[in-house]
Amino acid sequence: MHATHTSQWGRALVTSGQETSLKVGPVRLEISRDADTWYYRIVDDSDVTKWRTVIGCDAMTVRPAFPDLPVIIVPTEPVCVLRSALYSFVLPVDPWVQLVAERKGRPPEVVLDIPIARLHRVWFGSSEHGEPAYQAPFDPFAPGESPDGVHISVQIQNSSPSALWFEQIAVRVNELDVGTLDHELVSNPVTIVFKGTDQLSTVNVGSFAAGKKPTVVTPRRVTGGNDLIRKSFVFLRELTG
Amino acid sequence: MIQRIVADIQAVSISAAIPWERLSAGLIILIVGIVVVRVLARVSVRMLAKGLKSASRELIRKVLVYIGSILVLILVLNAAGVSLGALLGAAGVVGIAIGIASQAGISNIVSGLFLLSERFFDLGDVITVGGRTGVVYSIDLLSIRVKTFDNTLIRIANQELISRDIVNITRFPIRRMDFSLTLDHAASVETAILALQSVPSRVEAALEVPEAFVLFGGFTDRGLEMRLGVWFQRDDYIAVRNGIGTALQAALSEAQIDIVTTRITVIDDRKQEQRGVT
Repeated sequence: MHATHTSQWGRALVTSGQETSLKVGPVRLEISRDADTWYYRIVDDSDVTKWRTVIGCDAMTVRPAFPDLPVIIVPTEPVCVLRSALYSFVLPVDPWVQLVAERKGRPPEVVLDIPIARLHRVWFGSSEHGEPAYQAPFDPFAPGESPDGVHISVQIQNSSPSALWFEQIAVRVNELDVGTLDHELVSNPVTIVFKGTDQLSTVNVGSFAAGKKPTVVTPRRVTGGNDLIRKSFVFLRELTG
Repeated sequence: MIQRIVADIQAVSISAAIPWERLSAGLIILIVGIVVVRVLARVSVRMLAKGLKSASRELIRKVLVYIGSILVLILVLNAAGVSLGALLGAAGVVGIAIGIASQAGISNIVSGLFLLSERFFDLGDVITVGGRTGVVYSIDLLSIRVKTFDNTLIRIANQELISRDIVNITRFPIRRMDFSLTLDHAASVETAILALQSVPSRVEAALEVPEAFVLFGGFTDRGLEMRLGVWFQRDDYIAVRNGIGTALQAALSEAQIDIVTTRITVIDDRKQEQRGVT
């Protein structure tokens, strides 16, 4: 887990003709501007990218985001969840850095979207129908100790008739929001219920708890949703091409 | 028979002075007809051939366009005042002649239908046929076109495809890339296996799950024969290919294992004699 500085998130305060430097983990982001033209480049431990130019932009925001693929959590040692037991833990995930260009009257546009740490790429599922993912090691005895990642509250509920061995779990972080609460990056709580003799799982993504509602700073990348409006839209799009 | 064909063609009564109204009508039918045929073909394919692969849909669309175009042509000729009876008579005789001459074409069409029913590849897949590798660029009635990676276009007849082994390289989302190498005798097998297993984690584009395949092939007079297989997503071929070379060198260097390569030293005796070396 790399150290991030949450104070760096938010509107990039750069006056015309000036330059600023933001450090997020090992990544340093240099931003400068002239009136409505902005420039940025990335400097990390091993590389410096070329300056990139964004034209017609009123403001730039640096915000944290979840990785673009699901994250596979592999405990350093398997955990056994007994029948009817509930295993709760907080999972910290290294955030990505997004640079968002803002313009009056227009929706914001992401112009930069990079991870701050090296990700371990894995394939989840069969070699024919699986999907790409990232793998994150997880210490079940020291969960949630890093204050710098985005924290996901995960609950594993074993409603099956036998003990459940938790050896790996895919958390679809790209379907979760990132919010801030008491200067901490948090996300929607996730509950995974295992049922039946086959221990089939059902994943529920909860909304933020009432009363302690964080501010959503980065909406989810993928909206799952099988609602009627979406289905109708997909149907119409297929029909009209 | 030739006299008959000539007579039929002569009988096609194109009026010496076609009225402009008829010509205009024919032109309008041609333009509108082509547009209508194309739109209808596209809509029909979208509505009826929904579950089919893009290659099959494209072929069905082409067949519908060809049939529609023939119908439009008949309508245009009719509107322009061309006598269709005589024309069809001539076409019948010519058609038989063309049919005899186009046996290979028919064979290609039938082969194409078989290939489509097999669904072995689709547009955009990378295939190897007869030692030639490229991206499937188009699938037509008689042939497929393959665009090679050095940007040439190859036409392969369907008849040839049906009789050859075809390798679909990008059918599955992930692949394994294998490397064979010989390591120095001084290295322990265990250290060599551990070093090779660490290679995928050094290459950003390589997958760490499924785990790399490491196989000890045996002791030979050259050294330890080893094999490494690294999994990757099909689009990352070049990144992985290049990255593995560097990562292999680094991993083996850290484990203090040398890769055995064959070196040939050529000594020219004549030059040494000229220099006075004996």
